[in-house]
Amino acid sequence: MFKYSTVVSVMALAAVSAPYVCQAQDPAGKFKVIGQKAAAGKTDEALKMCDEMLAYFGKKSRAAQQYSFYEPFFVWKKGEILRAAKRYDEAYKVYKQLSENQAYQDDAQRKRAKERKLNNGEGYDPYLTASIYFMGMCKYQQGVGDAKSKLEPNPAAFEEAIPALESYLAIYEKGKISKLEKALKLDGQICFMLMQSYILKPKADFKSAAKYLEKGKTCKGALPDDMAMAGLATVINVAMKNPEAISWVRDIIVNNPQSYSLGPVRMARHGTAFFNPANNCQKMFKENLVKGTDKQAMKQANDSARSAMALLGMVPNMDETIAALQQMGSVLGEGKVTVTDNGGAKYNSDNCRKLVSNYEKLIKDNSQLDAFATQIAASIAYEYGSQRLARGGFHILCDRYPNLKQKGKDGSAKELGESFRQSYAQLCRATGDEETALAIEAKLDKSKIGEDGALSLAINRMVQAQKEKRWEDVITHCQEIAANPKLDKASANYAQIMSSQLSALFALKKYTDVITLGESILADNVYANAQGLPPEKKTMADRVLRYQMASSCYSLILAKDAKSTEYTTKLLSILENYEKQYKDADPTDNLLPHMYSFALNAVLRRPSADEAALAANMTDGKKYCEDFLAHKFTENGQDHALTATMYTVWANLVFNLKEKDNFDKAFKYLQKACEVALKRPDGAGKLNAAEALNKIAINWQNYQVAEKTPEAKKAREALRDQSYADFWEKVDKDMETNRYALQMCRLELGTVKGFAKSADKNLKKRYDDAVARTRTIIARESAVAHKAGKINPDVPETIAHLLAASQDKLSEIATMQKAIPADDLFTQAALDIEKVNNENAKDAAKRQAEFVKLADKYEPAVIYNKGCYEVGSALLNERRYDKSMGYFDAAIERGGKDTDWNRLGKAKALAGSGNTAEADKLYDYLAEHGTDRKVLAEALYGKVEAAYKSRNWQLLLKYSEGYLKGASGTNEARNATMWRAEALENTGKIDEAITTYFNLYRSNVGKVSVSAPACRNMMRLLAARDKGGYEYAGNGVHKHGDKWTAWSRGDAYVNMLKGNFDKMSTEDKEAFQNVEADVNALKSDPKVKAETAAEAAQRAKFAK
Amino acid sequence: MNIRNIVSVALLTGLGLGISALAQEDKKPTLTAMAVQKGKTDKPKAMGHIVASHKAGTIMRQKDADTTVEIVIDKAFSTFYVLTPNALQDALSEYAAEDFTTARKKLHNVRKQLANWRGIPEGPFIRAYRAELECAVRQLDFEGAAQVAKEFPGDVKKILTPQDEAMIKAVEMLGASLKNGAAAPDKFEEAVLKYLKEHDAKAITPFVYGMMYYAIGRAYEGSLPQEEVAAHAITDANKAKANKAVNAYCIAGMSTHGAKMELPIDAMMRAQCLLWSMPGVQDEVKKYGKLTSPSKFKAATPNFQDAVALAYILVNVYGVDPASSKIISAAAELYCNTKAK
Repeated sequence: MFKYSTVVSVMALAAVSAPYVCQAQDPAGKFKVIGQKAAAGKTDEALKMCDEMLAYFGKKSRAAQQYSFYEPFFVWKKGEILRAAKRYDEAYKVYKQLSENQAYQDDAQRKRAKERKLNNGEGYDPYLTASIYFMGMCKYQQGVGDAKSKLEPNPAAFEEAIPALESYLAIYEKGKISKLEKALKLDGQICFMLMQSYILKPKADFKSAAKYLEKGKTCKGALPDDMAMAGLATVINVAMKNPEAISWVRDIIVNNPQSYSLGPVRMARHGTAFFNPANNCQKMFKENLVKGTDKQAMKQANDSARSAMALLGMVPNMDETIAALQQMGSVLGEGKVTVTDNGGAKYNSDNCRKLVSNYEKLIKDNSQLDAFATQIAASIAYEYGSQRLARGGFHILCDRYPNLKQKGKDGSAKELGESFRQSYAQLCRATGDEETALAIEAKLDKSKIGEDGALSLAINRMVQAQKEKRWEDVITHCQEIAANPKLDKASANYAQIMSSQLSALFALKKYTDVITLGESILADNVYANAQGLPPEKKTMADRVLRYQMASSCYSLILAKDAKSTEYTTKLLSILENYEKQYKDADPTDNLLPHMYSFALNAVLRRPSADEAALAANMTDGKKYCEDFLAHKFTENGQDHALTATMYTVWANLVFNLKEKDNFDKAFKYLQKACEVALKRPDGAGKLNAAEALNKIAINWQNYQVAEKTPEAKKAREALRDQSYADFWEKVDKDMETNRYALQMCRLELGTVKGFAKSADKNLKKRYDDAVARTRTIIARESAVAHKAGKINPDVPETIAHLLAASQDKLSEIATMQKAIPADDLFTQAALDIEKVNNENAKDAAKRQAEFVKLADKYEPAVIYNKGCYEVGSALLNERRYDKSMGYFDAAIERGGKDTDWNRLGKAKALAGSGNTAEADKLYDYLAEHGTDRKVLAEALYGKVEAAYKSRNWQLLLKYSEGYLKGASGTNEARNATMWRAEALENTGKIDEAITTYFNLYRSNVGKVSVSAPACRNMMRLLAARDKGGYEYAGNGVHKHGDKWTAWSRGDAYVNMLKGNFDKMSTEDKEAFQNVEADVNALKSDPKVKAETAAEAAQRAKFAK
Repeated sequence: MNIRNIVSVALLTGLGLGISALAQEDKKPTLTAMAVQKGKTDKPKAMGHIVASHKAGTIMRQKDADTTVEIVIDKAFSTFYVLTPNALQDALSEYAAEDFTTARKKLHNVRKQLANWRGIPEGPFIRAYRAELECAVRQLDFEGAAQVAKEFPGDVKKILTPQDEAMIKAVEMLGASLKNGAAAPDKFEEAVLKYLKEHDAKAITPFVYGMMYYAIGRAYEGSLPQEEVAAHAITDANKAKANKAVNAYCIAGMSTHGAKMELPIDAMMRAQCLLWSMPGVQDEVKKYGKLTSPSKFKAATPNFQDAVALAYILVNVYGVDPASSKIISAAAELYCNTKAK
């Protein structure tokens, strides 16, 4: 165990000077000889001499009695000799005798010894008390044993050591000891030995041991080195088996700095002995850290870390130690002089050289212990979570021990330098110093970090890139890692890499890649096969993967990818498989609800070539809503955020599918949607609730649709009215903006406008409230849009509705114009347009002029679509084609309502400005895509007109046929008919042309501007055709030829209208006179004359 | 600590002769130690001559006007051993017991008493000097240490070992870092690193290495606007310098791997304070409040995690009293063990 120092081994006579009667019995002389013999190893001889002297003192002779005060000295010496010979039982008895012998307590004896100046005047007093100490010491020695002398430890001896030591300590603390003993400052050692005795005795008493550990703190005396080190080793061994005592290791060192601050030279003798215990403490620390949620385990971890650091603090620095040993060696000189230090260590030059050589070998082998100590300290810091501190440690390792090696059990040396640098780089990166990390990694000798190291390097880079959201780098690193042969494809690491790569692709919106990689991961069962990955993490990774794939499919569908149909199928399949995989989906699953939302929206977006396909999509959509609702998903203890939407969508689909049997359920669902939405905290569900109530308000007539009773009607109206009330009181109140509010205003106005003059005060109030509220909402929503720099197309529409319900439109407009800020140009423009329309309802010319003025006041961007068409058309009428197109284009670009009208306006402007090709394109577009019949008709007319202008008779015939099917009685229809007739004529279809002109003139007789030219053209063509002649067909039927017919019809036209000649306009008079001239010309035609005469003759025949 | 201790036995016990354990051996005379006597400036006088007439194995007291040094000579006068004076041993004991204040006083007195013997390599003067210097540094009394460093007698610089020179240099660096290092901390750092590069690593003990990095840390810390540090609100403009300080302090914190921890602990406490003051950390403190889960902790920024972990280490491993620092106390409470499974 430990070698006890010589600290108290030299209590001996300082001086003896008394003369003796008999040299042979000279006690001092004998004493000296005994000491020499003992020093020379002649133990038995020395003991024999002691016994002889003791026998001598036992005699009653005068000389013996005279010098009897020497007896205790010889007893002491005997004890010393026995103890030095490790004959502890005998020594114990001797010391016991010394302490208990009452004869030695005699004051006179004691005084005589003192008078002799023995032991610096203390005589043998020190022995009387010190013997108690040595009794304890002997038993203690027996207890700990001694490997060198092959003395086996005997723990039972501690039971006897303890009382002796405690007894001595009590005396010591009371100060009832000699000066010599006080100078030795033994209290620290005694506490230490007691601590050890209590630990090592057969039934360990840790409590008492702890008491003496604590007591030792207050003692001043330093322990001998061997005792300190051996004692520490004992405590370490005990602590390894009794982890609750691990903090003692640190406590002993820290509380006894005077004993453990050995310095490099003394520590050199022991330095390696504490490295392994430090390492064991570190292991204990890590083991307990892993259990760290347990308070006791965390305390254990902290105690272990503290003790590890205390032990590591004792590991000497090799260079410092070598330098100190070399200095000592040089001073000791070449001789074999041996000196003993105050710790009990013996040094001579050889000894120093040997130690130097040992340490130099450690340095030469690059196995400096202090380097490993630094490594352990850094590791502890890292495990606690201080990456900065760990970085500091690795900086030291890289800077001061760049070539450190670790010896394996097979003796081979593993180089650690590169892995240190790699760790250092990793820590630099983790603490935000990417630049240093990269610089170090660039210089790493990858052949020395091994494939494991290379893999670790790549993983660290990937993790850091992930933390910094450098997604492209994450993907690059993941691909590099996945290709590393060291990476086990069935490992948790591989699964993590795949998951990271997938997430990076998803973050970069590389959706097709997400799907491809996701399918590959699923096909290879990467997560399921990942060894070391806990089951719950596997499940989570798998679910997230499916969600990401579903979301990617949906994103591609939204982006109208060419493969949208394929992605829809995939998405639905993913959902189906997810449901199968996680059959009993947890209602708090936050991924599945969103996947349902994707699926629902995807099926509703599926292309539908016809009504049947559209209905099928809606039916499928309904199913997804139902499946969603069946799950009863929750979120933070409440219905999931999507629940209200699902109820609403289901109801909407029912209405769109016209499933009458489900209408009432749909209303229930809408009410449920509102209820669920309003329960969401912080008003998060208000918009959902607004939507649901809006749907009720739109579809209210479908409620109890099968019932035709007055009660059912009342119930419907009550439902409708309640939806308004709930909307305003429970939802819209306190909302800063509400996208359904304006529509609700319009709906409500539609309901109450009839109550404007109601005698029923309640109904009147409803009307007034609705009007006032609409004003407020218009002002609110305009302000919101204006503040955001946007326009809200619902505002002008709602203004129109308000005015429609208003009793005094102009006054209403004026009121609103005051309420709306002047710089809210959009709303002001809408009001101005309404003002123009309402002020000049019957004066188209005035309206035209006012609209043109508005074009100077408002840019296209601030006028709503309908307004753009009105202003643009006004400009168009003034042939200001470019300016008009500005308004039309603004509306077209904005999209939404009235866009087709604006396209039509633009087409007219293009045609008007001569750009017929572009005009034609727009007309074609409208013809194909237009949904408004009037627009369609106008588009067709435009094409007819364009064809006429470009003299494209075939096209004209084609378009005019379609146009004239739906158009009649308008100027445009008359124009088109006239052009068509001309086209017929020009394409050689004379007969049709004649018929067309004839029909045109006949149906527009009163319109001279139309009928006159039509009549003339008809006459001309008939005359030119000149088919046939006079023939009496019998039964009073006189057939004539074309010329005569032309004259006849023209003459009839003239006779019909000549009475109105004076009332005709100048242009009409001219046109009429042209017809008259043609008629007169034909009348003079010989063929006409002949036929007239022939008919007259025939008639004359009948008259006879 | 070095050779002196090993021959301090005899005096420590006062009861006998450690020299009784001396073994004698004939050797050629080799003078291995010299004494420089006060007042005599020229050649040092060989002690051997002075004691030639004395018997070998005796303790001889070499007297001078002011001090007495005990020397033991071997038979052939080949070697003599300068024993540790009681006063020095007593002072060194106080130092070993880490009563630095008492130790410094005693060491200072011993140094003064033994000034005449300052020329002995590894003699009591230089031993007292070293210990006094180290005491001052361990008390974080850098001004005091600088004063001690200045007081080293210029006429016996040859007895300074490379380690001594490095230690004195480190003390100078500490002083400089506090005086003008903050004005140009990057240049200061450059100078320190240059010194480390140009000098034999063997001469730079871990403790001295730590002192030098501590000095770098102080220089960078000193260059930060104090109002930012006091308000725990270092701006982005000063983040780089704060980082440099933190990194240097952490190197100092790890330099002695558990030994002589006063300076390393101070370094770590300064690092922790700066981390606590980094941009965004206080926002995270407010946001997280009392952390409840490893996942939340792991999601926090590295500076926040480090500030908290370092505080926890200081309290639970290095025994810093949380009551001594509000920041450390607050930060340590937020600690979450992310290794727990």
